[in-house]
Amino acid sequence: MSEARKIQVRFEELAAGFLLPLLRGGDVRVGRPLSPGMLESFALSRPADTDVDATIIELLCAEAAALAPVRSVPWPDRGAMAITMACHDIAIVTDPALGRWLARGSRSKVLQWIDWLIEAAGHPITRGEALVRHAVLSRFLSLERPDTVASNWGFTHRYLGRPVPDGFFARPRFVEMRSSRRALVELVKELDEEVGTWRRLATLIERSPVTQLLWTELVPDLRLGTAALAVLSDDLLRAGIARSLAAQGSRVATPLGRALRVLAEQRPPPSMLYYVLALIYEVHVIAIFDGKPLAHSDTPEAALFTAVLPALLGAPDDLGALLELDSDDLGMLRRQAPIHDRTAGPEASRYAVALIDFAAPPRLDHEREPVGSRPEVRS
Amino acid sequence: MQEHRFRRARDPDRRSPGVRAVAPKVLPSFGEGLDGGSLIGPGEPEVAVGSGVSDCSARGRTGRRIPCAADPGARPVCYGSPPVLERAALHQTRFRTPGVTPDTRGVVLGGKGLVLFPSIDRVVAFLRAYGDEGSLDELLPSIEIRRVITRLRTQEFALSFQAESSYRMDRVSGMAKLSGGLLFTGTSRHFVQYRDAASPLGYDVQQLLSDAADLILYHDSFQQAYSLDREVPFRDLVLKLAPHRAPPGERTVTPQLQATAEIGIGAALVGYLFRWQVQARAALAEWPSRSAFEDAPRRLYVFEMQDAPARIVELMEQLPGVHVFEPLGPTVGVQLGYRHPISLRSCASLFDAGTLHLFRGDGQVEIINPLPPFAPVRSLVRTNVSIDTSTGSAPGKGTDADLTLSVPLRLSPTIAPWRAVVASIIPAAQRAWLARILYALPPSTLAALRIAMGDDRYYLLNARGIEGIPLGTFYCEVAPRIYVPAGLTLVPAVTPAVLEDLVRDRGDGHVFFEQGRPSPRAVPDSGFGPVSHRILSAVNATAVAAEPLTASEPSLPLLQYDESRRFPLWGVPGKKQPPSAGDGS
Repeated sequence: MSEARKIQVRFEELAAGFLLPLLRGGDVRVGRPLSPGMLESFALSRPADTDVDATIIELLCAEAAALAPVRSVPWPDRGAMAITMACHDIAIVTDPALGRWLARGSRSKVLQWIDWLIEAAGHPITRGEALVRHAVLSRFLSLERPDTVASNWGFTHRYLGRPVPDGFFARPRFVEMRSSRRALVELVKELDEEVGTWRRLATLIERSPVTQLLWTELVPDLRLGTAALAVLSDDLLRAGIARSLAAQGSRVATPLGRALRVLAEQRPPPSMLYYVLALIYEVHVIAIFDGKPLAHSDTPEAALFTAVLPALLGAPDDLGALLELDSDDLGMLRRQAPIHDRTAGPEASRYAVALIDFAAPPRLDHEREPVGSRPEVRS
Repeated sequence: MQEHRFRRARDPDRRSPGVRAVAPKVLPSFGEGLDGGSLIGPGEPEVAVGSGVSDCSARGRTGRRIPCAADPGARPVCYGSPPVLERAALHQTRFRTPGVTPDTRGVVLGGKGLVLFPSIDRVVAFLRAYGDEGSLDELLPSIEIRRVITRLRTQEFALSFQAESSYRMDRVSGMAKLSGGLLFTGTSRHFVQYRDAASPLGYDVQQLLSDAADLILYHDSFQQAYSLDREVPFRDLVLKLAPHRAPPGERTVTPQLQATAEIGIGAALVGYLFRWQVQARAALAEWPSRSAFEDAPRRLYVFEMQDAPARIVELMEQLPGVHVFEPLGPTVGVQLGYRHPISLRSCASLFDAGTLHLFRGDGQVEIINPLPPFAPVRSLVRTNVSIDTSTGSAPGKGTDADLTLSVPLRLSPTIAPWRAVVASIIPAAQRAWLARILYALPPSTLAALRIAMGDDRYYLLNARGIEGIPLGTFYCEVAPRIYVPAGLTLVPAVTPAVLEDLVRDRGDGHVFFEQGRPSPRAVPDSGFGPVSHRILSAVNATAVAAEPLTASEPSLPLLQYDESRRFPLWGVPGKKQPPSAGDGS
């Protein structure tokens, strides 16, 4: 079998055995590792089974449209394909069989490939690319591994992530059998000390800014880079992210407050700060309209997060356009703002006012600087 | 809510309309004290950071700090720099400000006074307050209102006038403070702040700006150069301002009134005033046509009335095409029930003698120039004079005829305004039009509409008014459930109670007097019903099978490894290409 034929076979396995069940649910099969040499070919390949191809695109569309309106998703895309391959290889690294004597040496090679694939993924430059990456990565982070352990007086059989042979449970000699599911994220964390998988997964998440913003429990030390700010510059995408964050409740307060503080300490341009403030403000607005206001002061960062709403209502400065709401809705926000203000405390409120005073909305098209001077997402 | 906490010290923008001191815009670190920043704490007075400190920076429209290039000693923010002005001392005779001298009281005074306002509405507020308290006539000969602009293209308004004395300047200063303006004095283009409580004798500048600007103002907190944009003539300003409606409690009816009437109703009004013995004079004013397409000049009747009864004034106010004015002098009047924003009595010299300026409530000003000759209405009323008919007396003779008197009710035209137009009769020929209109009616009108179907006509009733259906003949309700065509009335003019007694045997029906019929028609109340029930056809719904949507949340993916291999990388394609050779970035 030629090298090209082998690559095509591996692509078919990846599409039908890994990606399709990953998006649709079911058993996600991971076979042999995917090397960086396959990326260029994979980025241009389509599955031979048109049903598989159509279903993947449909599921990617559905997953993307849950956040923001998209007409079509760019698939296959080199960056998203690199992320898919990296996910596949990270899942392989968690295979206990890879820790055996003869196979142990291949693990470091696979880790090198993962690093290369993550580097090759780059950052998304369109709304569709950002959403496709998030669709793949968010499903990957939800992956669970079914484990079955059967033991008797003499032996213990572990089937970790592998199916139990037919008729195995019919044997009467086993006295104890346990079945459990472990999240892939736990497995990655367990292996971190040994091979540094968690660090790589965190880097992979940074390649998908939408996932980085939404999976706050995985990324508590959220630092908003250029890619994340570019995503937030898209109003529709930011609104979808704010909706999802508001649904997560109070656990988003501290990460977002910390992200805002860290970004402010880096002295960003006023328009970049505007996007983060707009996101936090929209999260507050949606949470209040849903009847679940987010007013917390467990940590200084959460207090800063809480203080953004009353500060913006009290001193909108250049951000007054964000307050262009229906009068009833604005009245609801104004009734809630004193509670946020008391919860946040004076120090956080003053700091939030200073940030809002510094931030400035993006300029109009005819006022903009030349292309390339400011990150933006093309939709 | 502690909203005051979020008020930043942006008082330069609020305190004075010029370019003001601005605190530096910095981004503080989280948790650090904000004492040096631009915020104020709860309960603290709203005081500018660096208040009283000269500043060479200004805020643009976006609020961003912009270095002022006009100042030759340009520094972005000048904390600790010396103040712009110094206080004038008693018996001081030499000043750095050109064109100012001490007057008899020792107050620094220039040839002119200048009030700086941030907007035109503040100018109007000043003129209004000054006119209510004093007379604008004393300022009018020298008053000039100019729109000035700074280098940052912000617009302000400068009102200048002859200073004459410090007494006048004191009066202007008080009014200017009330209306949000700043008073300066000077002669040509350098104007220094007029005296205030901090410096009772006024101010002098420490150093003149060598700026080629049209106007340079020196204030204790700023100095600013302006260029003149355009002049706003005071007369144009007065004519452009629309009168506002006076509160009912402040309405007064003066014995003298003026009125204008359109040409169509003017002649009738002449007769009406004559019939009611109102002392009135009338004239015909004429304007050239405003458009080449108008073939005739515009004409208006102008009336001057003396001691007109209140009911007549009220009637004239309600007449379309007629406007009643309250004279504020021989040359100006404002529509009755309205007040002009500026006291026109105090600026009567603005209006030339021999003219008449009438300010209507809708903002239009009728300028009658020259004033046409007036004539008493008794001279203008029409008389039925026939030179052919003899007016000689005819001899009478007695009669023994039956003196029994029977007066039937008849319909007669009337010029009274239509009231209670709540019914209409639509001929059957117009039923297609009626159907079309019913489609366009709003739900509230449709719900209130009641209809009865006669043999050849439809009777419509709507207690809220029937004008929404412009079909058929409108009917006014002259007595409960008694209707006459709009524009007609029943004669003799009996009261509604008498009318109800006269129309007997109607039961609970609705009686319609129709033109051309000797007897009215009565439609029983039971014949009326809601339109929705009587006209709209029933809707037969077609059952559609619909099932509730089910959520299609994909199930969780489960990881499953392939069979384990002793050498996992064996046979993997592309592994010989080293990662470093690929373009990973």
